[in-house]
Formats: sequence, structure tokens, C-alpha cells
Amino acid sequence: MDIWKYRSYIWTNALSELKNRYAGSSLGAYWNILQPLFQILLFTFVFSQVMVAKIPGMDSSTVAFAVYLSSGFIPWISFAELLTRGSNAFIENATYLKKLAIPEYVFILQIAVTTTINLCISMSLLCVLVILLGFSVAASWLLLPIVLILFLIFGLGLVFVFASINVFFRDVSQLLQSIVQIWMWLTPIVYIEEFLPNHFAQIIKFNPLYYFVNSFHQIIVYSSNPETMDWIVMTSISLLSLVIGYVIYRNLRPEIRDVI
Amino acid sequence: MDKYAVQLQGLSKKYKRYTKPYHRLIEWVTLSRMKNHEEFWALRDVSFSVNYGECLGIIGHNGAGKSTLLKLLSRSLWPTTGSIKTNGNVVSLLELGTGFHPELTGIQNIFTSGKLLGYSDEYINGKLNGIIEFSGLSEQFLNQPVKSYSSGMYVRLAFSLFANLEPDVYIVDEALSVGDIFFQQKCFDFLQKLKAKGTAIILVTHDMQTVKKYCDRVMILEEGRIIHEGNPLEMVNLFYTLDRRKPIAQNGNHNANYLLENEAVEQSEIPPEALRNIDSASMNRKGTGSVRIIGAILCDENGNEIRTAQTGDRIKLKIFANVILDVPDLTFSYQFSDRHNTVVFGQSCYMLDKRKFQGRKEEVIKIEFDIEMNLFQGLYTVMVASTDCQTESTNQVYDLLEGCLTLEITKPDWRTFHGVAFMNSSYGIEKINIKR
Repeated sequence: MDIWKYRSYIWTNALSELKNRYAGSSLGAYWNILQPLFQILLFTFVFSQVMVAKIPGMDSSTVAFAVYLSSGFIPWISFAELLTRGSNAFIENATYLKKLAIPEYVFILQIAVTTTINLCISMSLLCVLVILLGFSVAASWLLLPIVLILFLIFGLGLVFVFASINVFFRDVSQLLQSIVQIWMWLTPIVYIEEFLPNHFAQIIKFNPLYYFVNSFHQIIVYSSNPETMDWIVMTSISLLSLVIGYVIYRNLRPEIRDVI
Repeated sequence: MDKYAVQLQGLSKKYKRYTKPYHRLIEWVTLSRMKNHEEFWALRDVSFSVNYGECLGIIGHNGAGKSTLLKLLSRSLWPTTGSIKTNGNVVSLLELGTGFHPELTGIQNIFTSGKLLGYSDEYINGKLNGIIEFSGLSEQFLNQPVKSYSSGMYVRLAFSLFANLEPDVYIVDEALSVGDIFFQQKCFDFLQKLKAKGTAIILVTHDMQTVKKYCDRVMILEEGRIIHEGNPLEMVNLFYTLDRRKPIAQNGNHNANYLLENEAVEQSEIPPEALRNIDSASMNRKGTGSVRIIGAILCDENGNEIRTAQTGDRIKLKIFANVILDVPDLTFSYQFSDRHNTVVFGQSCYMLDKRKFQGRKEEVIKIEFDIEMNLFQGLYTVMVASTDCQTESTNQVYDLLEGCLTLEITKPDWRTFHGVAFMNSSYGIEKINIKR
């Protein structure tokens, strides 16, 4: 199997990318965590102090909101990164694809691995932080890795779709920048679902990301298990996304190297 | 072990050409019911097989499908139809230095490119000493970023990596024509050793000398098909006769250097003697190699090769050259030297009619000088060269072969002059009266 053959390429490059992304800066790899942290602080400040949001069922609003925000925002950042960087994976590695036998998907997997490592680190840190802030550790946290895996599979499927089409229509990666922006605001990440007018609250239920983010909130903020329905939805859309991604990639694959 | 190292069956490659990008979108949306593209077949129905320990040469003009074939063989392209079966590891020199990162050191690059090719660190580690030794690069350099390497060193390192991967099938292209001559020789020696050990080699190149020297079998590719197959010498000669230079559109620039635009339709052939004269000569050769002289011959009016002539004979000097790289400024010249190595006569096309030629990659050019052999008796050597049109000694030399031909001028029946040069002269004679 080719994946096996190229596993060390995927792994080493994913690691060196994490290390080298901020090469030359004195804080180096720490920026992987510092940047999302600043964003979280900013959003927390804006939404808890300026626009005053209160989490239902929580007392100390600033800290609670920070936790609420982080538990949705951290996975979201990884998801957005996976989409935007992954969709360029083939084009960025055109020099290799033009000459080497290396399979195209290796470059997508490499980005996926980078994102996953990054996400795992920040989620672990978040959990530590949440404990330090006085939240209790709950058994529901054990479900977190499963949701994360489903979440990443959902993203991976989409990346295969966008990366394949992007080879033929370069506008896709530009378009994706805007889609990602809109998508974030269509998902209750920096705001709270209850704030939404009724008809909007109905609409966001059609957003697949809603179920994932909702589950993160359930697990981390409320220490409860996601509902069975949520599990079913999450599992099916992850698998659906992966299947669609695979089918599109497989159909376009023979021509990708012709046009790249 | 299977009989064939590589076996191609009915291999074809089609490219789709869209005039407008959205045409593809229309096709996708209508699920190909509305066809909007032109088909371009880069390869059609190519089948061949290569045995272990055999070197197969593939030659062809630009656009004949060579690079497509190379890419299919190295599996960086997907065939439209047909199949490629390979038994064992395939390494393609097309990939030479592809994975190199300028900021990484030589050693680090060996490992990263190894991984790109699908070899594990442990495997490369085992080969490391061999790689370093073969490259001949000092340890100091190996621990420096490759951006500080000269292009020759770069190729050395890259080739050393490939050389030590021990593949069953080697695919070699022009990549080797970089690097200095000694390293090239080393590479080819190495390939021959591999061949002897049973490695199959597929050589795709323009360099006819290499083809003749190393290949066991040669195929000519034209318009995506294999049109001829046979022994190297025959194929190379045949290839020259197939040369069809397509007329190149005038770019409107009237000062542009003269392009050879004649459509070489009549099938010409390079006399085998002419090729042999260049091949077998133990002469001094220099130049950049951009325009390579592949044949030279002295002959009489009937085209028969001559080694002797008499003073006053009209002889022909034919030079055949292969343009390897585009050159904007090109002329051909020859020079006769006597046995004291004194140049007795030299001339270039440019001196004759002030035309600067323009050489296009892959053109094969024939130059025929018509010379009145007004030399005194003795043995002369001939130098032929392709150069730019500078007449100073600082000119750019593409290829220069000293003493590739010899000509003996025999004692004429009637001696019309003596000395080195014949000065075209006449005289009048009359009886005159002088006033006293």
C-alpha cells in the first residue's frame, strides 16, 4: 500500500512543518498556540465585556464565556486551516507531482496530520486550563477524541473535494476563503445559539458544523454527553463527506497531473 | 523472476485541451454530454518490453512524445489506455534533484528526497556511505545547505543518491548532460556496470553519441508512435534522415538572425564515414556543446570520401551538426593547418556572406563548403567548428574539433607555384623599347 510506503514522508514533513512554520521567530513553535490564544482573548473580551453575553446556566460570565468560546473556536481554527491549506495541497506541490510517482493524497494527509497534531495539543491545553479555572473533570471528556476524529474526517472529505477541483479551477481556493468566513458566522462559535432570532436558529440546524460545535460545547462546557441524534448526524455526515471526497478525487485523479 | 523488467502494452495518453476554462465546467455539469474539448494524443498505442540487463534507447524530435512517455514510465502521469508492468523497483532520473530543498544540507536532502521517493530513513542510512563516496563531495560541503552548491555538485549529489538506490529499472533522460565530463563518464560507467548486473535501462535522449555507445536497441518515436525499432547505429542514421524541420513562423523582426527555413523534405543521409570521422578521431575537442558537430567529411564532386587531392582540385567539405540548445548566433568554420601546425587557411560561413544563423534546438544542419584546394603539396589537418559570428579570438565556441580530418595534397603533374599560399595571379608579357 502506498500510504505505508510514504508514511515516514507524511510524518516527518508534518512535524517539520509545525516546527518550521514560525522558523526564525524567537517563540518558534509556541506561536501555534499563542495565535489562537490571542484570538480567543479578543473574542472573549468583545463578547463578554463589550457585547455582554451570558451563558445560560453559568454564573461568572467572562470565564464561562472564554471556555465556551475556546471549546468551539479551537477546533474551528484547525478546521478552517485544514480546508484552506488542504485545498492548495496539490497545487503547492506541483513540482513533485509533475515528476515523481508520489501519490497526490500524500500531500493532503500531511496537512491533515499537521492539523491533527496541532489540534490535539491545543485541546489538551484547553482541558488543563479548564481544570485550572475550577471546572470539574467529567467522564464525558473521554468522548472528546471521538468527536474530534469525526470532525476531522468531515474536514478531510471536504478537503479532497476542494483540492481536486481546485486543480482545474483555481478560483476555488479564493472562494473558499470567503466561504470559511461566512461559515464561521453561521455556526454558534463566537456567539450563543440562544441569541439568535427563532428562524435563524432553525436555519443553522442545516449547518453540519453545528452538530460538532454543539457537541464540543456539551462535553467541555456542560460536562454532558451529546445526544444520540447528534451522534448519528455527526457520524453520517463525516462518512458521507469522506465518501463524496473519495469519489470526486478518484474520478478527477487521472487528469490532475495533466493540468497541474 | 519474470522475463521482462518493463512491459508496456497499448499505452496511450490523451490530453484534453479546452479553449476556455469554463468549457470544462460545462462538461462536468452536463456529465460530459456536451463535449467541449479537443483531444490531443501525445502517445498512441505504444507497446514494448525491456529485458533485464538491456539498455533501450528512445529517440525522437521535440513533441514526439518522449517526455510523456518518460512521465508515464516514472508514473508521474496516468495513462489513458494501456498498461505498464514493471517488475521491481523503478527509479527515474527525471526526478534528479526534484526533492532538494535549497536550505537543507546535502545530507539532510539525501534523506528528504529518499522519503519523497518512498525510501525509509533506515534504508537510506544503510546506503549513506556509498552515496557520499560516489558523489566525491567533501564532508564540509555535505554539511552545507545545497544552495551553496554549484550546479555540477548538485547533480553529483542527486545522481549519487539515485545510483545507490539499486533499482531494477533505471529511466535516464537528459538530466545527465549537466555536470562535468568526468562525472558524466563516471555516471555512464556506473550505468554500464548496473546493466551488466542485470538492471534494465531506458535511455531517452537527444544525444546520439550516447545512444550509439550504450544502447542495445533503439526506438524512434514520432507523433506519439514508435515508428522504427532496430540496432542503434541504423536507427541513429535513420533518425537523421527523418529530420523534418517544420518552418518557423517569422516573428516580424527583420533584423532577426537568419533561420534555416527550408523544409528538409528530401530524405538525406549522413554518410557513415562522416560520422565515423568524428567518432573515431582522437582529437582535441572543446566548446560549450550547444551545437554539436556530429559528422565531417572531405569528398570529391561525386560525394566520395577522399584523403588525397591535388593542388587545384575542387573538393567539398561537409559538416553535419546537431543543435542541442537554441543559439541565436551561429556560424560554421574550418581551418587547414600544415604539419608545423601553422594555419594556412581558415574561413567561416559568416566571412563568406555575412549571414548569422540561428540554431533551433534539435535541428540537424548540413554545411557544405566548396573549396579550391590551392595548397602546396604536403599533409594537412582540418579543424571544424561551430561558433558564434565574432571573428575575434574571443568568440564563443560551441564545438570545435581539431584535426578530425586529414588531407594529403599530392605532387601535381605540373607545379604551378611553390610556397604555402597560392595567390591568384596572372601576367602579361611583351617586348618593349626603352628610350636611350
